[in-house]
Amino acid sequence: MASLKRTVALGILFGIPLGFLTFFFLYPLGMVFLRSGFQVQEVFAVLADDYYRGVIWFTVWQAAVSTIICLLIGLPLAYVTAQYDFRGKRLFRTLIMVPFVMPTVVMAVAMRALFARGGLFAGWLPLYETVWLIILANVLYNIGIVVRIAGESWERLSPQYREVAAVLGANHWQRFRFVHMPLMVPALAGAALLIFLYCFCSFGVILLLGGSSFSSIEVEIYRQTTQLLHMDIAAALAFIQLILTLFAGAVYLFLQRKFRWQLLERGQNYPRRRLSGSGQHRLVRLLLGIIVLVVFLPFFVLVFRSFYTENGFTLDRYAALFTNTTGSLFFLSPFVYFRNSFLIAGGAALLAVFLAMLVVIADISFRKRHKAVSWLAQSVQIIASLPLGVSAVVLGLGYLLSALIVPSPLFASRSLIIIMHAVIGFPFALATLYPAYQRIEPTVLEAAQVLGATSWQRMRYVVLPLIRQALAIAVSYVCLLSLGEFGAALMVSRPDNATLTVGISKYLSQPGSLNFGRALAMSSILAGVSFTGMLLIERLRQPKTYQIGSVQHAVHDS
Amino acid sequence: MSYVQLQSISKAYAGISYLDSISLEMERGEIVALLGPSGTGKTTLLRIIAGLEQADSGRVIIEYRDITDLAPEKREIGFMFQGFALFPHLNVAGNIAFGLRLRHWPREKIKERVAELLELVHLAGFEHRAVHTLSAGQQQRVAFGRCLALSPRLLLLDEPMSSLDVDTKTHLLRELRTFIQQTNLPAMYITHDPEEAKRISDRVARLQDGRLDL
Ligand SMILES: Nc1ncnc2c1ncn2[C@@H]1O[C@H](COP(=O)(O)OP(=O)(O)O)[C@@H](O)[C@H]1O
Ligand SMILES: [Mg+2]
Repeated sequence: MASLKRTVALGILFGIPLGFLTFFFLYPLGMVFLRSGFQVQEVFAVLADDYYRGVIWFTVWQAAVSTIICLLIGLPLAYVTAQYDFRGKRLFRTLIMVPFVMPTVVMAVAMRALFARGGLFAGWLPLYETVWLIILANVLYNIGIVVRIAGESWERLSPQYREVAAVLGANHWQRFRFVHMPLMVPALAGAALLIFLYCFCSFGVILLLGGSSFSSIEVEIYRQTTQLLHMDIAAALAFIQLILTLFAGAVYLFLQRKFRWQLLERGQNYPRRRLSGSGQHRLVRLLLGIIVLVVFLPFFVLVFRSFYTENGFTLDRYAALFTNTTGSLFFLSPFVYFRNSFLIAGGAALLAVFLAMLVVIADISFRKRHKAVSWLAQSVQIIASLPLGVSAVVLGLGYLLSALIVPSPLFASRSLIIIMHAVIGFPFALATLYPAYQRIEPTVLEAAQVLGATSWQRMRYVVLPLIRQALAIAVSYVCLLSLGEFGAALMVSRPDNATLTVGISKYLSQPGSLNFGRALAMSSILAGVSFTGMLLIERLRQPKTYQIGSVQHAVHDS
Repeated sequence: MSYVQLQSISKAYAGISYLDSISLEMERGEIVALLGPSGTGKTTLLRIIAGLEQADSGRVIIEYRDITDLAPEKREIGFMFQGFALFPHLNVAGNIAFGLRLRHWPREKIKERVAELLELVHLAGFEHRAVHTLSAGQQQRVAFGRCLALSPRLLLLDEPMSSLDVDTKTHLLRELRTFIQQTNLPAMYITHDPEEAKRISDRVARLQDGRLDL
């Protein structure tokens, strides 16, 4: 009896997330593959066509160039922040990540506010409608990844390697060249691959900044689907993109295997180097300050221009959000965009976190008893991480291709986008909650059990309080992801489910300064929300330091 | 005048004095064990001798030369770190040849020297092995070979046995002592194990409350 109950519980706990992913992720994705799989000639036709070859080449090219520039600029920044201690370091690391959390649409509007006609730089930096603006946007977006990912693993590296090299006669440059650089290859490769993939799948920036002259694979999929209704070509392009993404992922895995070293880590309180003298200190801070200013400039200008009109500082642009000046019957009050976006973000966050929690709970309650459970949990994790490799536009395409079967009341409604965003956010939710759960000492749970706590009580009174922080992070993160998400929402957008990002892109595509003004105002609000959300997450990330029963290790023992 | 002289070396961190005017003399070929519980400042003393840490006061003299103000890369000291800190991106030969390459030794001479050192530490034929495939004992010998490559003037060994299990320890201790003796260099050997200290060294110095008991 008890075992029947347990089996049912297990079925529910794993069945719900698995069913969700199968129906709303694997199935639509399968439709894309089916479409291109049954029409292999379409894939070859696309590959043989000069125009599409140009699109594919351009996508790879701009991503590669952006990645290299990011590495070149990011490396010295990562090095300085990793190797030295100075005041303002944490702040710098937070600020440099800000563009990364900004929605692509916001970045595009900000870049237009800077470089398009009437923009601050329009006169003397003619970047508008050139590829360099796209690359600049890519670099601003991703530079933080190098500083954060490479910088933080650099920081963890034990200084002993550098010291051994010094004792063996290596000067500063040689230590950097022959010790640090090779040891950092895995971390740098990881950062580079991430940046490449982001730029490779970049949609919003290229769609909104590239004009009609530049098209990436993503943008082309969108155009073929929604403007030309060439579903077969879109599916073929999606197929090619998936293959290229998989290839990049395989290269990454290969590098990680090849360089799978056990690196000694910096001991608990091994002293970091300090900048010597206030002169050096000031120089570094000045340089980092300039970097932050450059990175922030587009957003400053965005907000500035949302208030500044021909009549000086006004709230006109914000007021215009509520007036229907076109007299158009189809005018959609921007308020609707806000309502849609916030409802969708909230829904997606709750759904994604709920599903992720089911997996975690299933793992907690059954792992020890059944071998099959840990196998199930692992396969859910693998399936759940797949959306990371699939772009939002391709996911959208999959939903469109399977539209006939998805019950129609769902289609074109907000719930559809809630579901898509939950699919996209699920891997992040799981990646936040799982480690938090695994950090809980097993003996703590056993202690609770010995004290008579049932598995539900252990969950309620031990696990939940201990992972509260991770829950908050997961919810906020998926919210931010959803608020800024553009590609998937645009692919399936209908007047009654258009999100903020979709709304902004609509205003951008319509002529007139009034519409651009609305885009400015909405982007500023969205930028503000994203910035606040990011600060909140950073705050939540600060580990609460309490240590029970573990030994404080001496300094140099790593 | 002795070959190695530490003259009144003092070091404090955050107001706590770990080394309080330490003086020590060593002769060529002499092995001194530096004994003391964890956290007493043994590693700090070695780091000061190697130039990785600045003493608050005191002088370091090796081979009758005052090296107190020299950068670590100019001191020509063999330092075996606790945990060995072998370079994971280089194989066994690459680790041993690291310092030789920096000095632009010709390829042939590097090969000879590496072979000679591997012979010495009983690892001939291991040139191309990745270091993470070696046992802890073998890693220890690679680290030892690496710090000998440039013919240093002084050997500093920071708890070389701490990552080894008890069974291999006794054997390796005797072996390491032979290796050191073959070099005829002065060596300072850190340990917190009195038994180990007695076995390896000619002389035991005990570090306690910042003072050295000879
Ligand atoms: N750079 C430093 N800053 C502050 N404290 C340090 C530093 N280096 C070492 N210490 C302190 O000095 C003490 C002695 O360290 P160490 O020389 O590693 O001891 P041992 O090697 O004898 O175990 C430790 O308690 C450590 O906390
Ligand atoms: Mg020590």
